[in-house]
Amino acid sequence: MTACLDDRALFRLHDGDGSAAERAHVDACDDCARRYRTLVDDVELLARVVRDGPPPLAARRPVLAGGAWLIPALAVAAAEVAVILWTRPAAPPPVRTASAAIDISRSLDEVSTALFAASDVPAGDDVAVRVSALDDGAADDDAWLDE
Amino acid sequence: MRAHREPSSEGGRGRPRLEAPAESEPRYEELYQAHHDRVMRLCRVLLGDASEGDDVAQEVFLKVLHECQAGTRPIAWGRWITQVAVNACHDRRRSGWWRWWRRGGEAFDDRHAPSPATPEAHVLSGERRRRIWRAFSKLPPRQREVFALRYVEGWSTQETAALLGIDGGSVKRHLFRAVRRLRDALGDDR
Repeated sequence: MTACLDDRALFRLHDGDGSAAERAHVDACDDCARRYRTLVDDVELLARVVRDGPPPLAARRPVLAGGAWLIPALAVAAAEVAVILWTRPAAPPPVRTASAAIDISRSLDEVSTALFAASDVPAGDDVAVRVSALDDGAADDDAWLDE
Repeated sequence: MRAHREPSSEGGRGRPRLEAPAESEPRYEELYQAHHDRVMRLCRVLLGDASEGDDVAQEVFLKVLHECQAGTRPIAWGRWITQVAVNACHDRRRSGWWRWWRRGGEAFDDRHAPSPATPEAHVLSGERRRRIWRAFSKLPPRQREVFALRYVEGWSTQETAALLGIDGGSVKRHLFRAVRRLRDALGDDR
């Protein structure tokens, strides 16, 4: 093998899967041997840093940026609305305006009928009958004057 | 030339115990002593947060306690506990609350970083360490799990594959990608 190994081949070698030819090449090639040593050192360094555990976080909730505040804000608003609706005092029964208007209209009709019923006027609705009735009444009035 | 390297076992952080003795089933206290530190470290690494990691580790050992009380006997406690820990971290990361909590909150604090005790630690302190951890925390979850199980825990490729329920080839691919991205984070500062 004469061609230099790429990173994947070097990593395979590091992971124990390289072929004998690849191993031989790394042993013979200074450049590949240097890259391989760098890979081994890097992996050791990375594993050590990760094994030591994460550094402390700066803050649990440093910022509520980028719209992250929206969900909790909506949740709080919804909770407030729910509380207000739940604790609101019982409202008086609503006035049924339409039916009340009908009742009043009916009552007024009845009153009107009772007050202005023409019981002394003969049945019939023609003008002549009414006029004669008025005339009769006027004659009676005149008789009273005559007396 | 070192063709294959298992993570170093210095400081008692070597390979986890895979099998429990068949005849003498370990008690909960023994399991806790044997696995607590590594489970806590694994959870911290997978979640990128010490307090969250400790919290999940407690959940894991609660399950271990229930398992002990139930009398069931996993063949390999070490492997079973690791699997439970990985799944618990996975669940924690997937929870909506966790995602909301972590959104944009990957900034590591310099003020409370432990002071380096050795020259080597001093080299690793500061910006370099934070850079590596920033890159690690941005890895896809699967790459993070593979890296942690292979290089922090010390499981083999096949064991890691069995723990994660994927095949060995996928483990190698995830590991290669994880290392490549983490090396990019190192930059020229080597």
